[in-house]
Amino acid sequence: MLGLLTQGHTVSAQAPRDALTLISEDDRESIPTIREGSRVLVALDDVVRIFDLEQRRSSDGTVTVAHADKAIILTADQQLASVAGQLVDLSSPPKIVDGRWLVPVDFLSRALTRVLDDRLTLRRRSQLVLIGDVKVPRVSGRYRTRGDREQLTLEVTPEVPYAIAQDGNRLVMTFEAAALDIESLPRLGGDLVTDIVAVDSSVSLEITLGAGFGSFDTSSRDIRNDGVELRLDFLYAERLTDAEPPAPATPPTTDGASPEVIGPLPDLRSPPTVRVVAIDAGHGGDDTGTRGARDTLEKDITLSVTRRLREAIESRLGLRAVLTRGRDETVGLDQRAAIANNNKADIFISLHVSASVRPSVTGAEVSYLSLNEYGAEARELAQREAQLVPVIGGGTRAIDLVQWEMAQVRYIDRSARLARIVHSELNRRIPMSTREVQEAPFRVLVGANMPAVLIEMGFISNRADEQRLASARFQEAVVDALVGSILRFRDYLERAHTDEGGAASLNARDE
Amino acid sequence: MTRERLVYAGVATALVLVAGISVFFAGLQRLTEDPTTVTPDASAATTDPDTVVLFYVAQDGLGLVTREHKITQTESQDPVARARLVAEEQLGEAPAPLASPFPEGTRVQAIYLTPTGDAFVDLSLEVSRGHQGGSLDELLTVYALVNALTINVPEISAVQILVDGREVDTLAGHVDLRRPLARDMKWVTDSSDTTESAPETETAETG
Repeated sequence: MLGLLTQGHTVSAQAPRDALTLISEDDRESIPTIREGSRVLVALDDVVRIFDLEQRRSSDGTVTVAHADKAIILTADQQLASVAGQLVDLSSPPKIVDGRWLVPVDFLSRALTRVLDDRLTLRRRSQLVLIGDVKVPRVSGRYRTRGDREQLTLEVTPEVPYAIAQDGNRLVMTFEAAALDIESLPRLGGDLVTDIVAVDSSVSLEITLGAGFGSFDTSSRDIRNDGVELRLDFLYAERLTDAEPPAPATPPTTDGASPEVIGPLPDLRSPPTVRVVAIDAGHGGDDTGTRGARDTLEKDITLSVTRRLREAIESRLGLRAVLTRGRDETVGLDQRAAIANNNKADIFISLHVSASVRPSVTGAEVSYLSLNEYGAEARELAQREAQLVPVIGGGTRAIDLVQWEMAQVRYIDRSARLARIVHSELNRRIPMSTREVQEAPFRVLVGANMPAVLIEMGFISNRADEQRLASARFQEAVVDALVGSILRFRDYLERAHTDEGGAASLNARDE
Repeated sequence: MTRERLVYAGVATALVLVAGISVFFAGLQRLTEDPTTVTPDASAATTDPDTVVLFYVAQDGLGLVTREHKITQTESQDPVARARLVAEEQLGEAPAPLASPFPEGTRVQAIYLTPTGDAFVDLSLEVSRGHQGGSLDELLTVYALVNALTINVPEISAVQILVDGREVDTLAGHVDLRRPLARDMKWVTDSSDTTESAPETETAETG
């Protein structure tokens, strides 16, 4: 079928603007497109040639294209096509123009894919058609300048291995992929990096380095849909060539010394660790939460596990546990975060029980806050460095300026890490849902000024889960998993703090 | 009846049958509701204004799946009127074997649309009071409506759900409803079945 494709027509690295690029494991081919208003069409003859199909035209305004024993019957000006015996709705009707059959581009992904041995996936934005399971990650980037650095962030979904190499004034990132589906690349315009383009049949990104470039650091973190966010920090070669080295921090003097020469004051905050754990028993009081078939109430289970967890944290770990509610009472969602914040908790664990209209759904799930729903501002806040604020007596102090209701945005990376740790610890002890760690806009998490996760311990709508959730043995298993999670997360925080290359280690996998 | 008449009758019957089958085949496009033979996506929905894409709880309960529905267009091209039609269809009964993510009795009370594309959809109290809870089902309830409106009404880019005329924190204690939410296809488990990129990453072009 892919004979022509693999036998090597002239391979163009980049298809012209008015063409689709077909990418298979071994090769690529371009196919011209015809625009008609908002519609994009391709000639059926081109498709037949590339995929080595049989074509039979009838005088009654139909055409049949076949591969092996499967056929597609198209009718001129009829949007519905017969594909291997099933009806498929195309986005627009095929048409005959100057004796040529033209079909909408989604003919490939909706119709042709059903008669071929390999799946066809259409990526409209990048005008790519993927044949089979080729690796073509989506790539989007953003760029920002900061005082002492320039930062390029690339989101690659799904994650694929890559190598990065410096060649003179160029930095080349090469990905192990058949191609890159580049959604957006930022315009660079700083002193350290000046340009970024896709090269080498679109599997590499070439970054042109500017005159001030000295070195770069990389770090990464997992993002949704198995993607990865790669961050490249570009640093100046010589910050001191045109300025004196900054004076070391000295106490303010009274002899008229300018306060500007006083550097940032030392960070008096304690090194990160876990001393206080906030436990949030979901729902309560008038808000019963979900209810099982045997009238088991979510609010009772969350409170029961909360009490067990408090006991374990205090007696087994010697840490302080703060409860957002210790009895059956109604507590507002903001109030829950406020209790954790006011007690300077280092972790926020919200305990819940889920339910589904499908009684078959079962198992525990772990989530942390998704920032997407809070707009660009939230992502900006998440990335923003603490601001240096002048203080009385001279000098400056780094202050985080984040709205109270968006406190969580500064902890997203750590919350994601905590969620993965909790998921892996629970997975060792209790049945889990098939869904991996989730990102979701959960109201109770957004105001927490510390790493925060929400745990659904099971589905009360499932008979076995309901029985299990109410059992002491199950609840103790959840507690064991959370105690193990707190220890692992504490180790991670302390290790990251002592590690001079902190940024990389903060975002690295540990599962 | 002579043999000749029998032949004529046979031919006539055959012609009627062929014509009937043709009409049936052509009409299937309008009539068929067989979800397995149709691959709905955003571009299809915007191509045919009479067809809308709606969202229901999948059989495995872990996400939403899409189904196409025919609607009767209003005479006017008013996006609020179309939004109301879409929302009411979305709140209707789910096609078997799928399930509706909305509590029974939930109604659309009003829809407002700002010039910037934010739709405010006021639902009746049942959506909150009748919700059985659970964060997953709450997510599915919210994003069924958000996705249905943002996909089927081009003028709508984000949706904020109101309950009985008031802004609310959540429907059942989990999902933050204090601001308009944009389309999010990650809760749609059959979006990969469309074999195309997720609609939110697509350009406006349609093939």
